[in-house]
Amino acid sequence: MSTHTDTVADRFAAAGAQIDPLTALTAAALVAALGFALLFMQEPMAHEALHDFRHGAGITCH
Amino acid sequence: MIDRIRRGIAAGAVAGAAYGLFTWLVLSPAVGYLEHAASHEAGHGHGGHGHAQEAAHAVSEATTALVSAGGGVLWGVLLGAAFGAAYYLFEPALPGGEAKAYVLAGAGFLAVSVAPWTVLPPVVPGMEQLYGPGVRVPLYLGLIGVGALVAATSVLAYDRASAARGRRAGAVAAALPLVALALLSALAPPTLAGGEAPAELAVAFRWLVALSQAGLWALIAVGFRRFERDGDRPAADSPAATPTGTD
Repeated sequence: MSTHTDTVADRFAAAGAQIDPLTALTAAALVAALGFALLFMQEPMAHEALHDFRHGAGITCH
Repeated sequence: MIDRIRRGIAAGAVAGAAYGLFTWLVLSPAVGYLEHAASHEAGHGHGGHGHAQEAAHAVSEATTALVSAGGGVLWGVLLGAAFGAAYYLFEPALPGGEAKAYVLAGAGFLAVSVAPWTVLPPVVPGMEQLYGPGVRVPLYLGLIGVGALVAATSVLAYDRASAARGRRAGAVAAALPLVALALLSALAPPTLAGGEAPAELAVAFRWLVALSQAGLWALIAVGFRRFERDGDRPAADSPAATPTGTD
C-alpha cells in the first residue's frame, strides 16, 4: 500500500490478465441473476418482509 | 484483485452485521411507530391507504423485522464487495494517502445513496409515492450512475487542481460537482406526497436513514483498512514476526 506507481489503466489491465473471462462472466451473471431476483421479487411475502429494510436504507420501492 | 474483493466482503460482512442489528433495534421500531402514527391520522383524510396495512397483512411485524435485519447484513456484503473491487481498480487515482479508503467510502455513499436521494428522497412511512415502480427503479439506477460520475469528477478535479495550485484549490474544485448535485436536488420535482407523520419526526427519520447509511460506509472503510493492514504483513501471525509480546 506504500509504493504504488501504477495507474488506474494498469489496474484494469492487471484485472483483465488475472481473471479469465469465463470466471468474470460467471460472476457477472450470478450478480445479475441475484439482482434481478431481488428487484422483481414482488412476491408479497418476500417483498413485504424486507419492507423495513427498504425504508431504513432509503431505497425507493413500493 | 480477488484479495481486495475478499477483504471488501469481509469488511462488508462485519459492517453489515452492525447495520443489520441497527435495522432490527432502531429502524424497524421507528418505521413501525411512524406507520402506526400515520394510519391513525389518516382516518380523517383519504380512507387509510394501504402502505402500513399491506405490510401488516402479508407478514407479521416480527418476520418483517427479522428479514429486514438479514437484508441489512446482505446489503453490507454487497456494498463491501463493490467497495473492494472499486478500491483495487481506482486506488491509484484516489487522493488522501492513508485515508484513501475513506475517500472511496464517501464516493460510494454519494453514488449509491445521496445521488438517488436528490430526486427520490427516503420515504418516511406514511408518505405516498407519486410515481410507480416502473418509473422509479430505472430512475434510481440511473441516478446511481450520475452519482458515480459526480464522485469521479470531484476526485479528478481535486487531483488536477491540487497538483497545479495546492490543496485549497483542490478542495474548491472537488466541491463544484457536489454543488451541482445539490442544485439538482433543488430543481427536481417532488416525487412524494402526503406525510401524515409530524414534520419534525419525518426530518428526524430522514437523518436517521442518511446517517445510518453513512455509518455503514464508514464501517466498511474502517474494516477494509484493518484487513488491508493485516494482509500486508502476512507473517504477522507467526511468533517469529513479532518478537516478544510487547503489546
